[in-house]
Order: sequence, then structure tokens, then C-alpha cells
Amino acid sequence: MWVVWPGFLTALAADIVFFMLFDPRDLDMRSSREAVYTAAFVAFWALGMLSSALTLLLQRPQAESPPA
Amino acid sequence: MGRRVIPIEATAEEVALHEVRRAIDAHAVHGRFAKWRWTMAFATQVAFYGLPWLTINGRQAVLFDVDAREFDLLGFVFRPQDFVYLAVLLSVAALAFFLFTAIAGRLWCGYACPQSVYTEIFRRIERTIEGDRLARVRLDAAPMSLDKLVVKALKHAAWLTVALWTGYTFVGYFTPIRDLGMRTITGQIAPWEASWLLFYALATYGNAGWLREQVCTSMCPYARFQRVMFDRDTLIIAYDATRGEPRGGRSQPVDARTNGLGDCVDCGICVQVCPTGIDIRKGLQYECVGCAACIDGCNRVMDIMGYRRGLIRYTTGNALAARDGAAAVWRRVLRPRTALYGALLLTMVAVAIASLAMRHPL
Repeated sequence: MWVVWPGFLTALAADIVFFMLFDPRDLDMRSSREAVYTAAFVAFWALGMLSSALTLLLQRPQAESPPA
Repeated sequence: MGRRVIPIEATAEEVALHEVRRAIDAHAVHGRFAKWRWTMAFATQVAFYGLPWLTINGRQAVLFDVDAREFDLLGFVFRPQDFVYLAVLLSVAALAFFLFTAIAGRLWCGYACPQSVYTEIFRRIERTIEGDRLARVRLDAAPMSLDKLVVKALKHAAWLTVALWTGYTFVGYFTPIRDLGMRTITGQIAPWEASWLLFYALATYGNAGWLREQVCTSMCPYARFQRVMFDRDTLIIAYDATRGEPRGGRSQPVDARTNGLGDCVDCGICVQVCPTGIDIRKGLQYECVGCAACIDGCNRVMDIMGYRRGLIRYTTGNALAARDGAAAVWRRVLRPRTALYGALLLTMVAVAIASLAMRHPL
């Protein structure tokens, strides 16, 4: 939940902002607009999830560290 | 030989990032508000599942055709030059949202939010197939057997059916739904349609079947910022502590007062039926989704005890403090904040309607 959900929210925002600037037709003539929107959304989502997963990884408490 | 236990002193307390989830399996509750919840679930879903099938003048009545850049909405067709209406719609939605929350609090969460509605539907399916809470707990504790497997498989199959139909309906708002049905059957569904159908179905199944109250307590932004829209005249569900305390069990309803006890018999029903597992007697908490299950539960106990209903009830902070009844709550619905929101909202709606009536479609 801490990876998938923030990624989803970020992807939503990124998709909206991105396609305010670009028409899907300019990017890919052969596919329908929905197809391009969807593909971009999935890509943004993957990026968002990657970012959240990294944060989670770096925030992980260090169980094995020797006592100071 | 006994095991020797060597005590280890922890050097530093490890702080877990996240609370471990305690599974909440709420008791089913019957009563006035449970009926309302189910009625609203029914009404919202009839609208959601039904709308894409409606046709006006040979066009699908509600269709957001993104590729053609045409939005059909109940006989109106919106094209890119009508973009301003989207801004108007968003403003109206925001104002309506402020107004509604200031007056009615989390009525939306309890009765109309898709998360609550699908959870309600999924819980009802679960209850029908697996039985009441006691039977479910027994089933979960039992070792795997053919019977258990069949019951569990049946439940998930039913959940998935509802979820897939929901996903199909969702995609049907963006691509002609009848056509989509044919193409799904013949296997000619476009990849973007299939991916959204499956994604929406999976989200429904996961959110309503598994995550449930976690969506409200951890994921929902509304739950977090609603407090800034609340004031002391906002409708909330509250426990009347003045009447209920000191709480305590009793054998005879009549002699409780002479023993110095309040009306709360401390039966714990309000906690057992709560879908987010909170104790409403501790006061207003952000986890409370306003479903009123505790009201139904408590009212039944009050009936059995022969006490007045409404120890837990819909009220406002001010009414509770002043010991006012429902009439006072209604009187304070109109206050500067709500008057301002209302006036702005009415102006916006009037302008939008006038502009829609006067526009010349290209």
C-alpha cells in the first residue's frame, strides 16, 4: 500500500500535466488517444512506485547494525 | 532439561514504520441506519451500473469519448470549446463539497462513498456465503478441508464477478458499452480497454474485499483534511457521555440510577459493530466513517433495557454540550459559513444553467 498508492496518485497528476502539453496523436499516430493515455499512465505509475519503493528501502530500520 | 532463558536488554527500541494491521471482522447490525446504508448502496449502484446503458436519440446518454474529444452527458454534447464548463463543474463540485461537509459531516463516507458501498456489498456477499461472524471465525480457524475450500472459492468467485462487472461498467463510460460487450466476447477488446477493466476490477476486489477500512484510515485524503471543514455545528455521530457515564453492567435496569450509574451498560456492542474498530465513546475520531452502525447497535440495547434511544446519536458538538435536541441542530444549519457557501453555490449553478441554455452548439 505504501508503494502502490502514492505511485498511483503521482501518476494521475503526472499524466494530467503531461497531456496538457502534448496531444497523444503527436506522439503516436497509430494508436487511439486512450491507448496512449493508458500507456503513459502505466509508465508514470511504474516510476512513482519505483520512487516510493526506494524511499521505503532507504527508510528501513537497520536491524543488523551493531550497538553504538 | 528446562530451557535456560537469557534476558537480553534491548539497546534501542526499534520503531516500526507502520502499524501492524489487526483484522477487523465487524458484527452485522440491523436497524434504521443499516437499512439506509443498504438503500443508498442500491441507489448509487443502480445509477452507476445502469447509466452507460441509457440511450438518448440513438447516442449513449453518458459517454466520455476521449479519442473523438466528445463528452455525451444526458443529451448534451461537450467538445473541447466547452472546456470552461469543466472549470464550472469543478467549482460547483468543490463548493457543494464544502457546504455538504460543513453541514452534514461524513454523511458521504457512510452512505455514498464507493469504498463504503462496495464494502457493504462485499460484506453482504461474505455473510450470505460464509455465515455470520461466529461462523466466519470458526471457518477461518478450521484446518483446510474440501468444504472450506468450496465455501472460500465460492465467496471469491462471487466477489470477482461483482468486481469484473464493475470494471466493465467503468470502461463502458469511455467506450460504447454495448460494443465493448461484443468485443469482449469475441476477444477483440483493445489492450487499453482490457487493462482498465482488469485494473478497476482488481481495485474493487482488493479495496472492498481485503483492504476495507484501511482505505479510509490510511489512503483517503478526505479523512485527513475533513477536520478543517468541521465546526461545532457539523453533524457528527457522538456518544452522550453526560447521559451514559458512569458506565457499567447491571442486573436490573431500574436500580441503575440509584446506584449512581449512567445509561451506558458497557456491553461493547458499539465497538463490535464498528467497521474501523474504534470506540465511539472516546469521542470524535478521524477513523469514524460515519456509518452509524454503532447507533443501530446501541439503540437495540437501549430498547432491551427499556431506556430511551439515542445514547449514541447524530448530533453536533454544540447541541451535545448544550443538551439540545434535533430542533436546535436544524436551526443552526444556517450560519455564516453555510450561508456563504450556499450563496456562492447557487450563483455558480444559476450561471452555468443560463449559459448552457443560451449556448449555440457548433
